[in-house]
Amino acid sequence: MPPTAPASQPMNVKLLLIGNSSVGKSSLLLRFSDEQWLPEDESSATIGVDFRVHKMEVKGKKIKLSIWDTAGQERFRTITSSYYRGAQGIILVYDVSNRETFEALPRWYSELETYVSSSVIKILVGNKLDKEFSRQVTAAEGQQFAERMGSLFIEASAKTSVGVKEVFTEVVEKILETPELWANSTKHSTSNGNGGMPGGVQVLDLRNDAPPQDAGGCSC
Amino acid sequence: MEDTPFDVVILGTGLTESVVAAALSKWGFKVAHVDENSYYGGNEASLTLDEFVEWIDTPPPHSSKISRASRSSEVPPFARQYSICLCPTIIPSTGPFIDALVQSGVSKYSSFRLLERIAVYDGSGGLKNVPGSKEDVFKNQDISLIQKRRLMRFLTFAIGDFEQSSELQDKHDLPFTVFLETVFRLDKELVDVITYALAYSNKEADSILTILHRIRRYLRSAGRYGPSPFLVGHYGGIGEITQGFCRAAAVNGAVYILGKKIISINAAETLNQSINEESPKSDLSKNHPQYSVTLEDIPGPLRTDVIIGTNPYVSNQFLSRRQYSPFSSDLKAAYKANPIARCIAIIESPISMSFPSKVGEDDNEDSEQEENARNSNDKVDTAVLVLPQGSVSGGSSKFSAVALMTGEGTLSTPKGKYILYIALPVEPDAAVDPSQILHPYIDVLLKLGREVAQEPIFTAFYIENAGETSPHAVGDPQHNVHGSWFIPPPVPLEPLGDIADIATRNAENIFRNLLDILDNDGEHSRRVNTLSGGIWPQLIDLEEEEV
Repeated sequence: MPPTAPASQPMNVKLLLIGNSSVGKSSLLLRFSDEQWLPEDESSATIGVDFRVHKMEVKGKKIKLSIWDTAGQERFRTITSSYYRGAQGIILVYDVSNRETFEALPRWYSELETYVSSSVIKILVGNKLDKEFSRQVTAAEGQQFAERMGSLFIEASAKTSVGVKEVFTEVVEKILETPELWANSTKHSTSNGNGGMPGGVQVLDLRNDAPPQDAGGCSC
Repeated sequence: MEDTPFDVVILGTGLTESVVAAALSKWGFKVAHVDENSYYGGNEASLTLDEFVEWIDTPPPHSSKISRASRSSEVPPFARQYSICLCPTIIPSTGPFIDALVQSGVSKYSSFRLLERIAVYDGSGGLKNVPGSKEDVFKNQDISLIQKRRLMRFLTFAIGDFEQSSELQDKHDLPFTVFLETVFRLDKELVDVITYALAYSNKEADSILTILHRIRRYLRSAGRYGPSPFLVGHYGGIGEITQGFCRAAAVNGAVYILGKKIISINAAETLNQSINEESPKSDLSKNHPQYSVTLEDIPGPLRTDVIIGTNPYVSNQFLSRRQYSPFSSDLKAAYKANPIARCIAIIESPISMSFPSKVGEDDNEDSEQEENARNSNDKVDTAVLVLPQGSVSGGSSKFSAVALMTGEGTLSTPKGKYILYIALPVEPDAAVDPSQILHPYIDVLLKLGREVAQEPIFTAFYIENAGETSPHAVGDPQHNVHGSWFIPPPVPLEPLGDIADIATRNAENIFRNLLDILDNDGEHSRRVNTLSGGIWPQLIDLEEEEV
């Protein structure tokens, strides 16, 4: 960063992961934020991954990313509506070697339609690219479906790291380019109650909290 | 479902059950949390307007909790942008609920705003601001100097350790209002304000100490997050926060199944008896769980020794045996509570919170200042309005009604819309029409500060009963070690500022009682006992929050 640049607060960006069980949502998250990979026999259905905070710089802007995982609540499709609150980007994940996880996507998209505004950025991720030999969904199919759903698209492998960083940078770049998603950015700044700090309660300032207005579409 | 049994199966995702689920999961117990509804929160859910309409039209199965429901036929647009809470509440800034939120880490899933205003209807088309702090009293222009001094004296008394004070000596049996009038010589107006809007006392039977304790809790809550003692949860409040507790449970391994009918709950009665007679329980309990819960579309039953479930799930075959609730007195009090007539109205301008000075008093000066004050008053987004008994013509002469308004600042409505929750206790068994008895209150509220009353764009009315069925005999936990069914007390319907705290206390009690049953080696109990009063393990996920 040039020394003349003012010490600015990082911009908060909230991302969510969704998709069927065992498509590798948590693995993508851990690979990205902790540079970790749990071999399949050690990783089980998500326990203990709540969210990760990751700082990065995109196009010269300091970003504080919080990336939320489903906590296993996708298994019986019981993700809480509160999970979706305030998200600016959604990472939808399927497994390229498991067709069923690709065919489940329309249901995840319809859940998004219910809970998030249409301006929220979506990226479709075909994970487990390392299982090329047992691929059941072609890249072209994935690409085509993503386009139809107005989403970005990428294939990745949490195991080999291929494409993982790009998933997050692409979605953040797109979020930065979407002014509707920043209309209510004050809502993240809390003046009272140590919001966002461990042990704090987020009490939003009475005068600053312009209501989040979704540019059309539905909201949570 | 998994072959390994669960430590606990919890039926229903109301506030109490969800707090218990989070605590158990955080201590490492294996929990399955089930709700027949497709939404979280049970009787405390926050619903979108279209979900709410469906709920009004087809009340949840086997529930006698809701009756005489009706609603406007037209549903306003942007129905998905509303969060309507079935259990409207305000949350004191200190107390068990806030402590649980912070200690469990669930606070990071939720956000709040301060309640902006509390006011009392004066019976003649105006409102009186409720002074919630000494600062408020100083600024208040409606109170005479001498009454101000007396009020100050009362507030100082009420926030302090009054239990042994001379003011209270021999006065414990006085009605609270008489106590205020005689000991503090407060005038009737202030007595009403304190009784109905500071203490939310609706029962003549409330003892002085009960009321004073409540007032002290509220007064001591002021200043923690801002001038008001109360917080209002975003996105519909309690229902949203309940989901946060469920998420905390899920993060710690709890399994969630919603929207599936419970087909059967079977108990291995004979097996259990033989176990009890022939061998130590702990050896076999893991292999032969007491209960198996079968759910629609879910292969294999959930097996467990312990069920926590509210009454609608308790089928008759279990009533005669084994289940018990460890909170007999709380439970009885909750069941004795009056039903509440509720109105939920959606309006397009906020209730006017201006406080017109009374004609004939010193109201000639500072008109511009007052004008400004009124304008800012009119922008109030969240407020509580109390309409004391007898203040509304055609209204109740016995109970006061409480209205909570939440606007877009609570993220629970589309832009420019407000939800008005009105609650009025009614006599048990009274065959009243909620829309009829609440209409005088709606008329008053929607006319406040206006020439012509505003028209709500949506209204719904219903009666909410305190509990599903009558309480059952209380068993002895010691004799139910193998196979136990806990019935959580119902979440109270009032007072507005106590609901979340009482439910949290009940959840903590259930958790502690469960610990006695689940904890074979006593290790957890020892660890919980080292916590000063709380039930939550120390938060260890600081690395996720990266300061």
